Amino acid sequence: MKNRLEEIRKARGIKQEEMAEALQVSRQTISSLENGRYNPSIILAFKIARYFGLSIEEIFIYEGEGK
Amino acid sequence: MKSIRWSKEVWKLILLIAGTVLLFIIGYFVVEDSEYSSTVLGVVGGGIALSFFQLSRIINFNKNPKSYDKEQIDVKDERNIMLLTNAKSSAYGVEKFVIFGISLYAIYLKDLWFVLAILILWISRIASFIYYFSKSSKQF
Repeated sequence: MKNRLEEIRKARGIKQEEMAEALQVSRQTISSLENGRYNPSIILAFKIARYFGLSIEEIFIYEGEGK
Repeated sequence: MKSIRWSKEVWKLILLIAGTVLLFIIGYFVVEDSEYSSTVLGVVGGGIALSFFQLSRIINFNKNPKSYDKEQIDVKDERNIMLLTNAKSSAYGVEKFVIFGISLYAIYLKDLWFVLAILILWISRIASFIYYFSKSSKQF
């Protein structure tokens, strides 16, 4: 699954540390999410979407199995 | 910022110190066999180290309350929980082979109590695995 987290975060001038604190997760989690190494739980995905005021689909792009 | 749960942290320290003192009394005054006594006193050393570690945590939280928040976030962080669960599961898999090797060694030694202890270890592992698997199946 791809995502636009880094792009959206940078466009809004938010630091990884600030975002991590707001979402109550570690900075490493934000970094792993941005690198696409880790897919968030549905709850964290909703929290991220609410944090940016966007829908989940605007942030996370599901490309199907094996992609 | 979250408020520090002092009572929880202080209770941990009290329990650690109490456990260490109790083990010291057992190791020094109760157990007469020098080998067992040394083993218990070795555990006491570990208890002292853990007590100092907990004390340093409390002092650190007092000086820098933000470090408590960070620790709480790290404990509840879903990626950290996933990493911990994966590590435990892999360690369980590796442990299986180690215990199997020790089982063979115990049989080779023909030490009945050693074999029985290993058997109890196997049974407890299998029983706890079945119990938690069944519990999780009902939960999720």
